[in-house]
Amino acid sequence: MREENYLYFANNGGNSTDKDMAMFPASTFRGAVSISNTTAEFFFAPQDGTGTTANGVLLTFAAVADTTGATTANGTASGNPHVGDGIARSANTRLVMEKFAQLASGNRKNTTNFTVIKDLNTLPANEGPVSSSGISEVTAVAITID
Amino acid sequence: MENYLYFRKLRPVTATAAFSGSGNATAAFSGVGVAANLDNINEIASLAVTSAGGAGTGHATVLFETTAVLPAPTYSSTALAIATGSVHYLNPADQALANSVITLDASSVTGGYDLASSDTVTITFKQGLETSFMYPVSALKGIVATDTDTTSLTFASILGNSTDDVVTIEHAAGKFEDICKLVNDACNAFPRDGRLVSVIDLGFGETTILGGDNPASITSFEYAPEGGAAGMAT
Repeated sequence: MREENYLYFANNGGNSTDKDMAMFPASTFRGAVSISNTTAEFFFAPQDGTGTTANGVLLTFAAVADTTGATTANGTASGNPHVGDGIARSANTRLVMEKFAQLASGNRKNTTNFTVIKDLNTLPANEGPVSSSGISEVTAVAITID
Repeated sequence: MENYLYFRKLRPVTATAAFSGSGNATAAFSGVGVAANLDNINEIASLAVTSAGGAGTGHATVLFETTAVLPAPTYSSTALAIATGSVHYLNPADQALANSVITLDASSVTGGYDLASSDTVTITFKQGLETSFMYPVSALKGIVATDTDTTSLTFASILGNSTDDVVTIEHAAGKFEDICKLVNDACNAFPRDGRLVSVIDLGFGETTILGGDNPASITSFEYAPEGGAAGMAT
């Protein structure tokens, strides 16, 4: 049997509506792209087998505020040179991608291979991987499966 | 187990372009990447207009920060006298970016500004749409030299379309072998683990290439998912 790692995503929708949860085999991961400075989308081969319309999971995280100069995008706050100020460093874009890579590659013998990338629901304690909330930086999950 | 190849564009980066003379639009910004790929306003962190002269420039509405000026001002389309060389900061979200050209809202619109001859617009790009990305090693289809100083990496489409995703690397002339070795080293960096491997990271003006050195003298790269069409599944 081929060792596979299964990646689990769930939003905080109460597990009550369509696409509140999705799980993909790690081998179907196609790549991830930054969408803004607070979001990145992770793409998987579609579950419907068409192979043409990717499934995407949009993960949201905080931008890391720049601490120098003005702090607003329009440069109107007090501070030193305006141009270039207000840029959130987006350090979490890479961090979330890195943690995803670690989790997606976490397949090891004698483990469940059930890997929570992010679960925003209130979780029971002491139930192994079911109790895991996943990547701490992620604050929202949006699942697109056409 | 497989590695994941990570790339990050040169961001933030600042560029300036002059008024094109028509349509309240600038000329194309240069030095920030391929023009056709610069279409998303959410990449712009700040936008400043510098007035070049007196005549014809007195048409600005100025964006105030209501939390800083009390009582809160109201916007007006009343023409304002704009001093030569003065700088006005506009909210990028009110403007439009297409093919590396900024088109400002007119002064009759809140947050707008009517450009006049020789006015310049300075923008700073931040992390935004498709400025960083990663692919599993298995998605890499191949590498091809496309010019004396450009090499293209082809990945299987992230959306599964027939058009591959392409990363085009700019480097010193003839350095193809160094590029291929770089990619090979990244693909095989952790054969027993599977990790995120930063191949080219140009974030915050620092050129960080896997291995520490930059024997190919990489200066920049472009990313064209789905043949350059921006817009993902969401």
